[in-house]
Amino acid sequence: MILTVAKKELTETLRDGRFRWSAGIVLVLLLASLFTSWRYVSTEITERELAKQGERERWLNQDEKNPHSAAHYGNYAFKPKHLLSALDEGTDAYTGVAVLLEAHHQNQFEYRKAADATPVQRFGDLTAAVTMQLLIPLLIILTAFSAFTREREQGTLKLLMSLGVPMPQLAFGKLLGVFAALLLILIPATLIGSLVLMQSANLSFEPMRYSAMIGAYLAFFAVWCALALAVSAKASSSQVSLVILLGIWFAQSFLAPKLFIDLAEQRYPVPSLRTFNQQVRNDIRGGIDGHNPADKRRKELEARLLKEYGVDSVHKLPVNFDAIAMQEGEEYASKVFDKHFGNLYRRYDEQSRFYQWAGVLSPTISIQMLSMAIAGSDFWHHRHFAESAEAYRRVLVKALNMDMAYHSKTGDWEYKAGKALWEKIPAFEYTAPSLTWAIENVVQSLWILAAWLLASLVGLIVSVANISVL
Amino acid sequence: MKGFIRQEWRLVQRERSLWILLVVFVVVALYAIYNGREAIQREQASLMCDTHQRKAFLDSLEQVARKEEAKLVSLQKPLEPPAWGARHPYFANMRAAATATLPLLNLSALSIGQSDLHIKERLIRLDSEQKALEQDESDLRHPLKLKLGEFDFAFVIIYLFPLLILALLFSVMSGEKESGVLSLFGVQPVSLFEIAKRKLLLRAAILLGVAEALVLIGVLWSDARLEAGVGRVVLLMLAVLVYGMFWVALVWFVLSFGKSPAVNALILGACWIALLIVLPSVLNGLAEVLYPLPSRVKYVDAMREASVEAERRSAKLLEQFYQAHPELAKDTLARDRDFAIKNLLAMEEVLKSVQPVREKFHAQRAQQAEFIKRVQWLSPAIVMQQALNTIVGTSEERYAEFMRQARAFHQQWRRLFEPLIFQRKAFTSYTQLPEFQFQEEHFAEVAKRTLVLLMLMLIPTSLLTLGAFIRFKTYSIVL
Repeated sequence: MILTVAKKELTETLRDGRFRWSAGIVLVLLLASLFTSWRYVSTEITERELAKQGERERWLNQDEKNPHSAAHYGNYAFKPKHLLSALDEGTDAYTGVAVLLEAHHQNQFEYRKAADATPVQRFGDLTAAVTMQLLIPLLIILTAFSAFTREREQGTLKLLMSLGVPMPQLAFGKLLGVFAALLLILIPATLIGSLVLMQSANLSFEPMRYSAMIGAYLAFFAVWCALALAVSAKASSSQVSLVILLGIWFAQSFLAPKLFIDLAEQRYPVPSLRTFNQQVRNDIRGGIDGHNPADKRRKELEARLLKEYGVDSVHKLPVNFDAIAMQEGEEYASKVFDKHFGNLYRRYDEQSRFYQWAGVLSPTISIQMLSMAIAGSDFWHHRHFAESAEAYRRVLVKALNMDMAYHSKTGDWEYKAGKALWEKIPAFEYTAPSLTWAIENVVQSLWILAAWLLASLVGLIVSVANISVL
Repeated sequence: MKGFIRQEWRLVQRERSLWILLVVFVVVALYAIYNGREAIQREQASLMCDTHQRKAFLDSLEQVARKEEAKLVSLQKPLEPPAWGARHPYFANMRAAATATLPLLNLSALSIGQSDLHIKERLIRLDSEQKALEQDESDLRHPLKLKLGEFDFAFVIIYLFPLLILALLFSVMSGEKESGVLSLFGVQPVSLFEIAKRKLLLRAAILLGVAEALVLIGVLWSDARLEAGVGRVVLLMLAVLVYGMFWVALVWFVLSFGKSPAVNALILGACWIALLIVLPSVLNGLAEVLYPLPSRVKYVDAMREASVEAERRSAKLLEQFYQAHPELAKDTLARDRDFAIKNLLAMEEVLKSVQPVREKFHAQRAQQAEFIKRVQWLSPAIVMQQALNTIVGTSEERYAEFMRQARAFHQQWRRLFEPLIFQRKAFTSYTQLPEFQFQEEHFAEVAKRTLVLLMLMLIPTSLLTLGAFIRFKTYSIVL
């Protein structure tokens, strides 16, 4: 019975010119966005890899110089891009591509793509994710809004009921039919998508992430199908059904995300950049607790070293006091950075968590979070890279300070190190986090989407069970 | 006819859905105004620069410099060339670095635009120009927040307002048609066109009136003292009126085909989606594909390469410099130790070698903007976004103007310090340092740009109206 209903629903949908047209447009948009983003992402992956190698070569081939000069010259770390960010760009355009790792500072990432774009980008990017999060639900609405109202308006619902068709079976049949129509564009899109993505030279295609993404979106579409059918069963006319569904769609896709990220920001405010920088500076200079200022720390270090080596002046030390003091400064600053960046990231986490809870009201929010996480383009992935880069910065600067400390004397800024030292410091190698790690960050959204799936199916059965024939 | 309007007003009064939707719209709009205001005030607080503090700071530097001078005098050492300290021009330029700040208009609260991505504070000093004018040190915001965009009044007007117009007007005629009242009108001595016009205009007038009232509330709430000038408020009201009229004309045109309400709703919904979602993202995507920006990664790469090269050649650069300026080669002893001169020369060198990449970048970026300008008329939503940003002072043009002024100021700064550094002269003018002051765009300029944009919306509006006029002549009054 279910299959008969599904078949009828599918045939009817396919005969509808409106569906054919809109499905065609969606498919074209999906493929066009996929292709252009893939082209952009794969060149970006290659260029960042090349830049990374170039940076290492420059590091190794730099002239002989004082290690501290080398520490200021530093190293640029280029954030690698996940191939799947071609499907969902996530927050990548808003987080910057590279960071300078140098002495004394934990720098911000530079060159956010969004800052270079035209204002029109704020209407939304042309990515597969936008098509799937905004346009496919519309296609579902178009297919399903009159599924029950039309039967009622044409009087066929009466016939069906008098034939004794079990209502849940009718509902699932229609669900299957709508979903099947959708699959007609999703299957070719998925196949072409995987073929395109597999063309990438560096073999960075991750089938696990790709499948996870397909799974997440299928669940999201199923929610919409069930929701649209449930509304159609409840609505008094096709017109009412359409208006209600479009209202829900707008509220979920536009109002809810903007509103809840705003509320999250208001509830868990972060300091302004100026305040943040000032606090970092104050803590480094005056001590984290305000009791241990920089000059006092330096004096204590001096006294300790003089005692340890049994001399009465830093110039008589067998080591370079300036370098040791700089390293002490670095270590103290690291504590300060950890404290402030830790607080900042905690705030961002709280904002994200709050925002994810809003998925209870809008499955669009849940799929957004899941999709970005799977694509490796959410803020957590950015943070993961930023933290690894910072860890490397500390290793790099420490190695340079230590070399200076044990190979030169206090006050000797003419000391020069060479290739031997540059080579001793390993290159920055970054390992991207796993899919499991990515999902764990957004596990809330996963459960909420699952709950939506269940709730919408139950909602469909309930509303169809109480359907009014007239 | 008066009787008709009175009758119609009675009908409107009883339409519950209309009033409910209007109330929702007003509440959402008020929240958006409040929210934009919060965002702008937060940013204004962080941009505020304390001129007294700045003056006190410069005075204190002058005091330090005087003390150092007194010490040198007592030791009977020469004051010039200056030693590394408060009189050294390079030191002075770094310590007393100026800030170029782009002030935010209070009115900007109504349309944040790209302004949340703009870097409105630039540190002006003889650091590399790249650092001063390109560095993208952004304020701390969750990137997701930036991606999702601000919930501001512009969002409500651009997205929600048309939706409200469509939702409330799409069934204006068809309801009458279905109930057969329209054929009764047909026997009256009025043209159908007139009836349609009045029915629609009455509702449209209510919606536009509410929107204009909200504009006024928004202006008064965010810029109570009208610091931005009454002219901008008039432009703002005009823009909302024109944008609203476009959507009303669209409904009118669609209605003139005499289809059923469900079909009308579908067509209008499709138009909304096409104009607000599909077209903008497709056009933006096209701009990026047709005029791709040179990769920033490559840019960083080129800059690093150039700086290594400049460093390697620094001794030679210095040599060349003194050959070109023999009059400056007085201090042979300190010559190769003069790191400030070396620094400047190296910076100049880096700048010169990345210049082609930079020019290419800016050229492509300008092409993208030009492309959007050429095709924006396709979607009144894009035009409206640009118009609102222009009026409230968050437009690309205003930011570009700020960057131009900041660059000019940076040049002024260079002209002040570089000769001192090259000639090894002491810096003595802490109290007369120039300060950056943004010269606001002229209102005439803003008005001109806005009116051009409004014209772009008026053209499709009049075409749709004309189309509707023609169609209504042959409108069928029976089902």
